[in-house]
Amino acid sequence: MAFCSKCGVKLEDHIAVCPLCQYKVPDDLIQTENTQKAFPEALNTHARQSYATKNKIFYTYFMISIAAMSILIVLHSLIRPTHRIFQYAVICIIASVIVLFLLLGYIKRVDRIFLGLGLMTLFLTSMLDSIDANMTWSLTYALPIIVFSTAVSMIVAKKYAKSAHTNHFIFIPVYICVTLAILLPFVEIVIALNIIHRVHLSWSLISTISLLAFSGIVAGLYYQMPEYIKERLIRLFHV
Amino acid sequence: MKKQRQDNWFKLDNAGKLYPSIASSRVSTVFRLTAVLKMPVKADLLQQALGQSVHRFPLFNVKLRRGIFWYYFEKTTEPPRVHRERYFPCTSTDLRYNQPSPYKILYFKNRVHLEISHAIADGAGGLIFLKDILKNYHALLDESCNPIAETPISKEVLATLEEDAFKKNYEKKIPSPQKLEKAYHFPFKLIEKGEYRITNGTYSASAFKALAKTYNTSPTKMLLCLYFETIQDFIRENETVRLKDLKPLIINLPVDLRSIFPSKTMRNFFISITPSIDLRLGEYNRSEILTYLDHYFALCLTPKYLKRYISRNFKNELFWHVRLIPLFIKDLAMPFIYNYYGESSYTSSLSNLGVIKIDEPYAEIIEKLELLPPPSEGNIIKATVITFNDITTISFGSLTDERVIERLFFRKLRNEGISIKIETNY
Repeated sequence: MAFCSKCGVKLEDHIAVCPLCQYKVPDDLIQTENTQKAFPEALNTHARQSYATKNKIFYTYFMISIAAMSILIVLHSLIRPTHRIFQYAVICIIASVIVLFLLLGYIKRVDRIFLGLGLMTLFLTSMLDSIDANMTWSLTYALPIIVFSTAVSMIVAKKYAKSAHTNHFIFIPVYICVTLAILLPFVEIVIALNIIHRVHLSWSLISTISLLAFSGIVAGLYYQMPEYIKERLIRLFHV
Repeated sequence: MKKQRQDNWFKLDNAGKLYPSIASSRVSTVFRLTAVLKMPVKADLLQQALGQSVHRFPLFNVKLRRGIFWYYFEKTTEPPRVHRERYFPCTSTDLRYNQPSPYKILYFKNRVHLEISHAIADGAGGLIFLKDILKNYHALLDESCNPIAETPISKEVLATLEEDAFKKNYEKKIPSPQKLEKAYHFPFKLIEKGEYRITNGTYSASAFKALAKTYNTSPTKMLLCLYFETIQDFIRENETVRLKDLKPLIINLPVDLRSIFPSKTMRNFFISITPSIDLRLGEYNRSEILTYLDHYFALCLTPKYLKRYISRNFKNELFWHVRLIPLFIKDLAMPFIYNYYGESSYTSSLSNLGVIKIDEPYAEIIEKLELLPPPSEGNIIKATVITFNDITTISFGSLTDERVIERLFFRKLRNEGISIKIETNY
């Protein structure tokens, strides 16, 4: 019979390593034949059930979208309106199906989801802008903002996945705030370059400073500031 | 006609009402009773045995349905199918949807499992059902054996088996107990959703009883004492939290109320008592813990004290504004309420179903019994104990890959001279 001499417990006959302390069981004590395992090689129900639920949600939404688009196309051919509301609606429905697909987690890596969202947003903005056969705001505003946001989001998502914070969910708002703190000045620069044709920062600076301060406070509270910093703060701010 | 309609469904009992609403992938509320047989299980006979048992106990021939305000059980004509075990134990999460049966009968090699949700029954109730299935299985297995013709259970007896004992023993004017303070929780990283780690340790019940006797205590108190010591050792060796910030160690210990109040119900009828030690007051030695447990048990295990908990639990159900909240809102709110009032107040739980007796000749096919705790995100390590045939099985159910608690506990038991065999699912 297999035995762990470190824990002093008997083990199942087929066990090669003590499940409690990882101590290696001597080879001559391990039996590979006629073993009576207490548990089978288990499957994970959660993955199966959540996949089935996701499929149901996506399938239902997809069918509703197809029906809605068909109705819109038929109505458009019957009414032949002067406005372009039907085209806008159809494009938005297609985009919403893609967004749902990306958000339901069929793609596992978060950076790839961001890439997908970025590409989808580019598609949506360029399609919406091209309905009147004249591409304007989608090139001057949407394109730089979407490309930069997608790139920053992908980098931050990769950094988060590689960092030691992956199981510390308190860091998710911290990472979101830092991402926004980087994005907002860029958004304001793009707007300023298009309107006043020079770089000008105002509201984005306030937002960035506030977001960084919030991130710092949350991270600081989580890590609990060292005693000497706490003491210095108390000394400085006592009333 | 009206009478017939009323017989086709029944309400969940007071404790059971909570469980479907809080069920999720990491809080399944499903526990497992296992009978390890002396020979491999024959699935077709097990299916027949289950059919006979649900016929005898219609309480278990039900499916869970959603009402507007509460869940309810609807009686069915077909018992659930018996399945070979394929998934991680106690991880059925489809309790809220698809009109599921509140239990499953599984088998693997020589093991028969009853995986049952707390929505319908507690350990003692589930065990009566499992015993009946095993009794029928034995009779079907041994063709030469003439099974004792089971007299059908009368309607009056069935009513007592299906009663809501909380409702029966509720007294309106009894004050509720105070809310517990927040307890220490293990700082371990959770495993993937849908997975569950089981560590079963088996040892001689008589050897452990002799050990408990040397300390003039009962096996349950001895186990509880060793569990407290294990957590205390873990904190001393590993925990980085400052002593003044350390929360008390509180163990949730379910008590079967059938031995204290007159009820034979098969549905939920238990209350959790919560022995605790506070390490901010200093380190506890074995004698101190055992003395504390002696006094605590003497204080708690009285009808007067336990009635306060029955009163608290049942009172919540009577509030009209609670009753009128739609079920989908209850489903959203209950997990948070349960975490705030329940799991945040416990470090872990230790549930002892006691020494189980099964009538001869049915007991001859059973080698030992096992009991697995339901997984819980708030109490990521839980323990359960059951004894049959002089074999005690203590099972740790864990949602983490850290094995330090189990290791310290079993080494402690080994140091007391108890010989242990470990079985795991990882």
